[in-house]
Amino acid sequence: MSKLSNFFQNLFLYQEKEDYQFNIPKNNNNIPTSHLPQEKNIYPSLDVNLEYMKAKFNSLINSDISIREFTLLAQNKEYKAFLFYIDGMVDTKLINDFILKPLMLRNRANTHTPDKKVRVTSAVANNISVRRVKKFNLEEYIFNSLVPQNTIKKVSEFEKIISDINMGNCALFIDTLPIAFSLEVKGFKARSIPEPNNEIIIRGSQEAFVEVIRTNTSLIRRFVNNEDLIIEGVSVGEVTKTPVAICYMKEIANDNLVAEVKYRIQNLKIDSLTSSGQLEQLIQDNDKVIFPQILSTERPDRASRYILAGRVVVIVNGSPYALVMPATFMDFLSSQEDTNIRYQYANLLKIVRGIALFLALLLPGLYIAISNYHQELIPTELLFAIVSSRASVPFPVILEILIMEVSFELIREAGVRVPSPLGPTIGIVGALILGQAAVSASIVSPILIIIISITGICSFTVPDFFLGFWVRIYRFIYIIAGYLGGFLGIAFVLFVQFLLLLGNQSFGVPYLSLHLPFGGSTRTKSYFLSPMWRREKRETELNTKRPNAQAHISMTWKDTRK
Amino acid sequence: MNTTKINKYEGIAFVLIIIINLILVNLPKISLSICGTSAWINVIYVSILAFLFVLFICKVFQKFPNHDIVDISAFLGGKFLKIFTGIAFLIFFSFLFIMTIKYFSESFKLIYFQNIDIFFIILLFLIGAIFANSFKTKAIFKTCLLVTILVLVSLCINYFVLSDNFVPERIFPIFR
Repeated sequence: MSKLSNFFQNLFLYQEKEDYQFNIPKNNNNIPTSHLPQEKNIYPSLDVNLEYMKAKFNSLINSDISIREFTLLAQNKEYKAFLFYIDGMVDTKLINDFILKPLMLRNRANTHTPDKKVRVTSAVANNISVRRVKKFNLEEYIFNSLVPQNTIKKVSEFEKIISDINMGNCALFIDTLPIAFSLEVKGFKARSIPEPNNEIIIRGSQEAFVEVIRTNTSLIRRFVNNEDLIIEGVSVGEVTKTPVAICYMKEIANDNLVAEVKYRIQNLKIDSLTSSGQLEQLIQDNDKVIFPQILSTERPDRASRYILAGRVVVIVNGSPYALVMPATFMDFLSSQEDTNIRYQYANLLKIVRGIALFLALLLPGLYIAISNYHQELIPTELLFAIVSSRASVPFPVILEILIMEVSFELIREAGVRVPSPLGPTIGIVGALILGQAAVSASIVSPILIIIISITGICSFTVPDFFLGFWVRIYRFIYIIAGYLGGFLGIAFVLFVQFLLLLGNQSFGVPYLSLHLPFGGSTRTKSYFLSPMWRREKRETELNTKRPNAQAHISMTWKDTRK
Repeated sequence: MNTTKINKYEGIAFVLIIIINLILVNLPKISLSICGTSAWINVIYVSILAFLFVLFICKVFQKFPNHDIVDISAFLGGKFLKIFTGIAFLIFFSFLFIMTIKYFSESFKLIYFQNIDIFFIILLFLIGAIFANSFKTKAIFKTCLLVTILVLVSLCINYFVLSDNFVPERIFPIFR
């Protein structure tokens, strides 16, 4: 009986679950748990420095903090010292061969007797000889003679030495010295220089940026190959202190432009910065508009070309994308390939891209506007074909288009994240679902499949991946505008879009300057490229220090007058 | 007073877009009904008259450099005339704006939006004007230039496509 009673109780009565459940309690005290006072300068006492560094890096908890205490030999005298570094970020062979060995093992350099003073100058006057001697200075001796390391800095502040350790350097503290040595021994694993993934060109460099900032700056240096290339280093983020490099040509770039870029980057009160995309959002002119205002590129040749044109390139550590500013709308429609091939081929590609942008943006909206309001524009035979194909479709045109567009976006997004073995399968399944099955089930009409396919292909023709998002969002707006107002609605949205594009700026340069179709030697604002020998001027809006990019007669070998 | 300067092409586009709208696309029906195929001569004749009238006004304005009509009325009649002129112009521009919008909206309603209340079509134009007002005048002039280029290109394509129906003799009413 009790068993039966228990059974019904368990079945019908509420039982409190005994599953483990965790809730984050409210933290009424927002005081950080670390109560370590911020010390500024390094102490002469080794023990105090050691205790401070251990507490700062939580060495009792952190498993990758390495501290090597040893006895340093200098001029036959022993000094206590310790090395402080993060395991995994340093090259231990460098530490062993070029720091520990010279300092610990007895050799000619460090066994020089301390009693001999070094005579610097001497003079004899009135039978009295006067000698100036230099007393032994341990700090200078270690810096100049004992550590055969190519990059070594003397640091007197804890903040700087801690920042260097976090970047992969090794810190050397020595008893009685109020400074520490920061030694460049970085050895963390990083990706080797890959091919570009998203900016693929046929003819041109096949190198792309990586995550390590120094590798990226070296790539740019190789392309620019000039001592006037300035790469200024700043750090952004109070917690991460992310290194950021600002690259420009001192003799070309406008000083005010460079100052504006530095001003915006150095006046960011943020905790952390982990990618160039975050920095882009923090320094762009207007964050309310959808279109990108700063160009992102993974190609060092493209970044170098923009630096030589007078723009500023910003590289963020940890991100394989460099930011180029200022950027205009036409920059997002151009590719690095345009400058590498003949101008006739480049202009053909520009025509194709222009048509593709028009179709990607407006084709679905125009279709819905024409089929709802402006049927007289369609030839009669085509109109009959469209009407008959739509006869069995139960949905209005707007719903058809939205179903297909949303499906296309879902498949596109899924394709980015699907594991590679399943990639082709998903593509085939998606195409089947999107195409054949939807038409067979009379969910959509066949003509709409053609419209959506052409739109999708055209949207991939836009060279810049981030401008593609602008196209995708506005396409939906045009679809709704076309449904609500036909051509009038589309014209209204076009008008608003032109106002937004023409009314915004990117670092002082109008975002959409009206480009004349063809340019000459004096015109810099032209959509189509002129022959290479005619591209004499840099862009006038940049107000560069060097307006002429090449001489009036650049091909002097052709000059028959000489 | 806003001293934004517009460049030569923006000024030309600004005038062109009005000419295209009022003469090429919306030639007055009364002109067509009275003059028939010589309406284009009538347009030139009226344009010359308007040009002479504007020339006269410019000559008068030369006596008052850097002054507009409101400043001149203040000079002539004091504060009373200034306020009167200002109000008159406000009423005139408002009337012109309302009539233009209504005429345009009625054309659209007649052809494409028979079942939609005219209020919504007017609202669309009003929203566009309010939105444009939030931008600098430079952006509006540049948009006007861009739109003029597109309209001119589309007009040229239009005339080229309709060239089959073009009968050259009809432009010379004397020879009919």
